[in-house]
Order: sequence, then C-alpha cells, then structure tokens
Amino acid sequence: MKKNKKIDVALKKEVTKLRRQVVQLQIQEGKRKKAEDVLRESELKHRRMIENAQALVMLTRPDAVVTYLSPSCKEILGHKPSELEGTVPNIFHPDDAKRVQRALAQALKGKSGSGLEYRVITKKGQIKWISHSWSSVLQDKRIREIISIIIDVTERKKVEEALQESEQRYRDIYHTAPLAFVLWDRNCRVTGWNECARKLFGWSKDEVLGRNFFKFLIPKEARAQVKDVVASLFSGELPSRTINKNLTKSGKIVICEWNNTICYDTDGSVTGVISLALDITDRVKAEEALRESEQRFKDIFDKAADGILVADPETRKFYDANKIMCSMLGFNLKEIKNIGIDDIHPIESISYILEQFNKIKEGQLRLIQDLPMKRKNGSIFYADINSYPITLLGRTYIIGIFRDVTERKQIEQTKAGLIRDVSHGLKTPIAMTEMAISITQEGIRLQDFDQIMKAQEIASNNIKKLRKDVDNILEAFTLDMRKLHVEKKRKRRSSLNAALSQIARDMEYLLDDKMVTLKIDIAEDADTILIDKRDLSVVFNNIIDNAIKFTQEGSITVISRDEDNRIVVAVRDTGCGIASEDRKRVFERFFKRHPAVGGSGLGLSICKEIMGVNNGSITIESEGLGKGTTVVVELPKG
Amino acid sequence: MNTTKTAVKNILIVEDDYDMRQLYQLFFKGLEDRYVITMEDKAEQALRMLANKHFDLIILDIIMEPLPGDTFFICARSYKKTMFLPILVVSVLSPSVLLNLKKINHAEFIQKPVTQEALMHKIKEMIG
Repeated sequence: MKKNKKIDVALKKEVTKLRRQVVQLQIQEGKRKKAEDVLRESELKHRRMIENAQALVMLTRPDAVVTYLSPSCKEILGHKPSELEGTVPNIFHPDDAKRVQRALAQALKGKSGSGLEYRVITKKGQIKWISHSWSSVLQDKRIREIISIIIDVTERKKVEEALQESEQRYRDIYHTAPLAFVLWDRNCRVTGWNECARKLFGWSKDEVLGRNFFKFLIPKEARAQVKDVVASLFSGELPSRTINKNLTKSGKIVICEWNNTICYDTDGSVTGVISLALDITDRVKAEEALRESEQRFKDIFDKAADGILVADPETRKFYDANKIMCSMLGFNLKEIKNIGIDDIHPIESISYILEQFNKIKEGQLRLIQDLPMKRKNGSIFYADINSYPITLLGRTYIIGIFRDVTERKQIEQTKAGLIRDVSHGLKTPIAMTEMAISITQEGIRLQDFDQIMKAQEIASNNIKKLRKDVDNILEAFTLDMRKLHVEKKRKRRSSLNAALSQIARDMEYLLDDKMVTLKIDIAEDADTILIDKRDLSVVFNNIIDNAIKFTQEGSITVISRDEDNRIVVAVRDTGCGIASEDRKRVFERFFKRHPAVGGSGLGLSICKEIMGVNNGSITIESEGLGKGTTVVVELPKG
Repeated sequence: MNTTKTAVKNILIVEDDYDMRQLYQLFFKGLEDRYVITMEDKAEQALRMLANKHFDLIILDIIMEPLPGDTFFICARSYKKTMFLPILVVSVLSPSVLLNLKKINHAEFIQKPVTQEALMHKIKEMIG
C-alpha cells in the first residue's frame, strides 16, 4: 500500500503537472488564437483598405514581375488583376515609355519615388494618365518587393492642360496685345510691366519694377485725379474706365484710357491691381478737331444772315435750326426740334414740298424758289430754299438755307408796277404829241387853222410834260452819281426871287386853263441862298409844278423868311391835299397817289436828295384830302 | 320811223385827260352828221349818263381816277341795257397787257398813239 500511495502521489503530481501544462497550452493556445484573430483582423482591415481603395495597389518583384494588383486594376487599367499578375505589364504609352522605364529601373534598385506621371493604354485602348508612387520593401537588406500606389489622374490632367492652355493664352495676351499691362501693389509699386507698356511709355521693365508709378508715370496735373482712382480701387470700388494724362520717358504727355481690375488674396483683402492702358491720344486729338470743326460750323450756322434748318431725311423732323430760322418761323428752338417739314408749310403745298424733298434727298434738286412757308401764328411768307444732304457726326441730314423772298417779291411786284407807271407816264405825252402832229397834218390839208392851232397847243404842252419827266428821270440818276462823288466845289449863291420869277414865267401856260393864281413874295433879306442856281431851279420847279398840278382853283403862294442864318421858304396851295397815309410816302421815288396822275413820280424824291446834298431840308404838310398842301424848304443863308 | 342807213351814231367818250379830249374833238370835227360825241372826264358820271341816254358805242380810257376804266367796263357790262354795247378801249397800254386784266373781254382795243384815220376805221368797223 505504501508503494501504491507513493505512485498515487507521483501520479497526482504528474497529473497536476500535466494539467498545468495543458492549462498552459490552453492559455498559449488562447493567446495564439487571440494573436491570430488580431492578425486576421488586421489582415482583413488592410485587405479591405487595399481592395476598396480607388488607388491601384501593385506589388512588383525585383525582376519587374507583378505579383499583386488590387481590384481597382479593372477600373483603372481595364484589365482584371489576374490578367496582369505574373507578367511584366507593357501598357505604357509609347511616348512616355522610355521615361517611365528609366524611372522604374531606378525603383527596382531600391529608390523610391512619387508622383511619376505617365500615360497608359487600357485594355480597351483608352489613354489614361496615371500618377505612380512607390517604395521598396527590404528584407535582410535585400529588396523583397516594391509596393506601388497608382492613381488615375486623367481628369486632373485634363484640367491641368486646359489651365496651361489658358495660361498660355493669357501669357500671349500679356505679351503681344496692344494694351499696356501695368500691375501694381498696395503701395503703388509696379509689379508687372509688359512689352506694350514699354512701347507706350518708354521705360523698360527693369527701369520701373518696384518703383512707385506716381513718381514717373503721372504728370502733375493728373495726380489728384489718379489718387482718387487709387483710393476708390483699394476701398473696393471699381471705377470702370478712367481717362487721364500720363508721362512718357521722353517727357511727352499721352492720354490713356485705363481699365483696372483689383486682385484679392484668399481672405479677400486687396493685394494689388491689374491695369490695362490704351493710348487714346490720337483719338482725343481727333475728337478735339471734330469739336473745333463743329464749333466753326456752329458759328457759321448761328451767324448766317439766312435761316438754316437741318432735317432728318427719314423722319422729316428737325434736328437743328439757327436763330434767324427760329425768328422767321416764330418758334423757339425747343419747339422746332419737336416739329418737322410737314408743320411749316400750308397744307395745300405739302404734297408738292414732300415731292421736292425726296428729289433733294436723291441729289436731283438743290434750289426751290418761292416756296410758301407757314409761321407758328399761321401767317404765310415765301422763301427761296437752297437744300442738299450733309453729314454731321457720321449721320446724313438734309440742310436747308432759307431766304425770305417776300420782300423781294414785293419789290419785284412794285418794280413791275413802277415800270408800268413810268412807261405809261412817258408814253402818254409821246402818244399825245404824235396824235397832235397827225391832226396838224390833217389841219394843214384841210386848211383849218383853228385845228392846226389847237393841235399845236396840245403837241407843245405834251412835249413840255415829256421834257419835265425826262429831266426828272435824268436828274434822279445824276443825283445818284453825285452822292457817290462827294462834291467839294465851293457852293454858289443864288437868288430865290430870280429863280422863282423864271419858274412863274415858264409855268404860265399851265395856269391859263385853271382858276389858280401864283403869288410870289420873297423878302429882300430872305432872298440869297447858299445853293447852286440849277439845284434851286430844279427844286422849285418840281414843287410849284406839283402845286399847280394838284390845285384846280384857288391860289399858290410862295413866301420866305430869314430864321437864324437859314432861309425858310413855304409854298402853300389850296389844292387837293395829301391823305395822311400817303404823307410818309410822298418822298419815295416813283410814288404817285394813282397811276392816272401825270408825271414821273420823281419830283419830291429829287427835291429831298438835292436838299441832302446842300445841307437843307424839305417837309410837307397837309391837313388831309381837300385841305391844301404846304411844302417847306429850309436852306443855309447865302 | 325813218331808219336810214346813215343814222347818226351816239358815242360816249370816257377820258380824263384834257388834251386827249381836245384831240377827240378835233378827230370828230366835221363828222357831226355821222357821229355825235358826248365826253365825260369821270367814269362815275359816265355810268349815270349810260343809264339815261342811249349810246351806240363807248370809247373808254383805262387809267383814270378815282374810278378806273376797267371797273367802269364791268359795271357797263353788268347793266342789262349795256351788256352787249360795243366798247372800244383806247389806251397807251398794249392790248396784251389789257387782256391780262381778265375783266376786259368782249371789247375792242386800239393802242395810243392812234391816227384819226385808224380810229375812224375802227369805229366804222364796229358800228358803221
């Protein structure tokens, strides 16, 4: 039994030992399992990462054979991993192949690299850009394998290319455009200066970089203006376009149009400005020249003695009018700009006028005469128009130059009337004389002395009338000549009495048939006048002839008096007098109250002109028709 | 009623010029058996004369005042009695000018100066 007990105890010891060992093993097993689990978990995690990553993970042996490709391979390269694993893939784009292989050769030697960009050709033949980064895994100081991460950068590359293209374009613009680029910072120091800026302003890039542009580019007179622009730019305001003077290296001033763009940094503060400048000196000069020329035209326009009107050829509305035109029509300028051709002519003439206007537009017509015009108040006048197309500031207008011919027409009508009257005035005594002569011949044939006498008297009277008229007409012409050649000869003295006596004798025959007496009463001290004898005769011949003509019965008295070194002579008749409306016209040439009145109508106008030449005056008074007339002549005492 | 071919004709002469009236007297001197002339120096009076007496012919001057010859003409032509009465216009103005005064129509014209012969010939032509 003792032996059994000893074996029992030993067995128990062994069992306990074994149990302990088993427990140990169990614990170890447990630990190992845990470790395994951890490892499994880790492996799973990494596997998931790799397999789900968008990037392609590649493992390559040192001999360049690919041992592993992550599932992204299908997406990125188009091949299933199994298709490329175990091979040395040859999927490089021929243009990049050399470069890439060189780099990868380095990789296989242990050098790591990142961001190698090259093109590959996918299974389907697509070209893609990839970015390849790798590092080698060493084991026992030898390269076991190379781990590569490959990313598809095709899209990014496209953007890059577009960006590059765009950058190139801007670069081209910067360098070749005819715009000067000046870039500057917050302190107004030049940070950029292109070739065009050099050409425009004269300084090279080196001469200006870093310098404050106020010191060389802005002339004194523009400083304040440019300072304002800079201030508003930095406060965030964008003046769209500014025009100011600039200095060039040669000292010449140019005028530039500046376009400014503010540059911001990422937190929104202003870092600087890009300014583009266009040299507009020539344009400004041209504008000034145009303005000057416009001003000149405006001057002519305003100062012309004729009316000028400018119309739009299509709308027929007025674009401009000068002062004279405005007063001709009775509108002010504002009103004229609101009306057109259709508004300034009487309605019945409008269709004719529009016809003419179209001809003018086409250049077929330039002058219209006697065109009826309608004023604001509706009254009508006539004008001659010179009209043609002109160009103003690039647009075509029709310009019309208007001359009021109402006066001319009236003058023409008066002239026609005058010619009729004068002809009649001259023809009548001639015709009478001719008829009288033929009657005389009849009388001689019939031996009728009575007839001959009467006829002779008629002839004689009419010849005298004719002579007077012809004398007057000639006198009128001579007076015109005398006015031109101012007479310097010494004035002669004449006797009133002598002249009047002679006139009385000459006119006796006219008084014979009338119940009119002619009385002449000249005081001795009012007899000598400082005037040529001939002029004195002409004047009083005409005055007394008139008095006799217009007095059927009564008297004609001539009296004179001395008044302060002037002799005043009055011829008063009891004849038909002068109507008040005619009184102001009696001194007009050819004025006759009625065409039936005999004579040339020149008598009084001649008297007045002779008075003018001799420092005298003549006035006529009458209380009206039927109340007689008094003519008062005043001359210097001789 | 003894209407002989050589009946005396009554002529009304409207003329404001004294000398012309003298000439007319001389023109018609010795022709009293054929023509009896009545002279008026004012158209207004002449119109009244027309209303009261019978005339075979009017010899008319144009340029007169206050009533001119062409107005006299219209008035004469508007009287029923004298609507077709022969009128001879004697004036220095030429017939063409006178015809322009549209009022003067249905009249004969003769321009001064006129010889006695021409005048008588015209009158004979008009009224015999």
